[in-house]
Amino acid sequence: MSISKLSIPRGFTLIETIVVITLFTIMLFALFNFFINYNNTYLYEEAVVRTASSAGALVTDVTMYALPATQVLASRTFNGVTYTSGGGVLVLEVPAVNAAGAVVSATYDYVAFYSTGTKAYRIISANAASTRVSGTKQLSDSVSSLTFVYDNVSFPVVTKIEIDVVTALQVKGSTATQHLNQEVHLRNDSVI
Amino acid sequence: MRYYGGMTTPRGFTLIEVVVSLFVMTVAVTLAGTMLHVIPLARHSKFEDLALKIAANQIESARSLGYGAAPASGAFADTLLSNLPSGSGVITVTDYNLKTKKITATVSWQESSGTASSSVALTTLVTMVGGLQ
Repeated sequence: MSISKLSIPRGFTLIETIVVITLFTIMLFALFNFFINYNNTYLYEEAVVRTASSAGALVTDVTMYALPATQVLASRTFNGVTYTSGGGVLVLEVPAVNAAGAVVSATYDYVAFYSTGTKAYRIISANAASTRVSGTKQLSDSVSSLTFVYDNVSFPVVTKIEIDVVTALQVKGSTATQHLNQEVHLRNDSVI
Repeated sequence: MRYYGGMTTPRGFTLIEVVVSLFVMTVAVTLAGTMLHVIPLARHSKFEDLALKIAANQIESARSLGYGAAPASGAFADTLLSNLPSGSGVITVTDYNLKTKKITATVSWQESSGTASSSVALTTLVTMVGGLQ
């Protein structure tokens, strides 16, 4: 800014105004772009983390119940709803565990894993002597496919379960996915 | 710049103005820096999770073969390795003692060219008697 010797404050010249407005516009545009881009990337990365962690959690949870399971059941009724083992459903018979962490003999809890739409659930029907709590728990909300593959068509003699899970979330035109595949060998199988 | 009481002496910024603007700028730069750091971190954790699951799967299948049929050392194949950037897997089987074999599954990947490759490894022991068959 230039000041006249008469000490009367002058306004901006046209050229100053134009330059300032131009610079300001460029800056605003750059900042706006940066934040929009950042927001998109952030949402995408959030989806990446959510798909990865929910796929991991699902596989870990199935493994946790399959390891001590005595057998895979062909079907079992939980609260009036019958779950039948197959490609999308896994029903396990797991020894009941008391408060001290010891196995209660000849007493079993029943666990089923299944998916409905994009949601995967675990339902437990616990014996009265068990510390496990009966109920349904949502394990993932972004499942695009959940498949169980068995080493034998006859469920009671199954010793190996292969869990294949794909999770996917759509974020503004791009999709974040995670694909996990894990085999579990029943450690406590009564057939062995 | 400000002018006081019609006097023509231009004054500089006051200390408080300088401090406040420096503070605001520091906060903005720090926030932007943190934002940009989160992205590779999220990607890394996803790949690490996947690599761990691949290694765990390999260990599980090696254990199921038992002592007698332990796999040979060398690279292993897994369809999920293609989901890791330049992903590769190696299984190492060594004699731990006379009746035990030590099996290590290592999964390596490289997030972007120019950076060091990352890897995760899982180890298990398989005994001659007992264990998973």
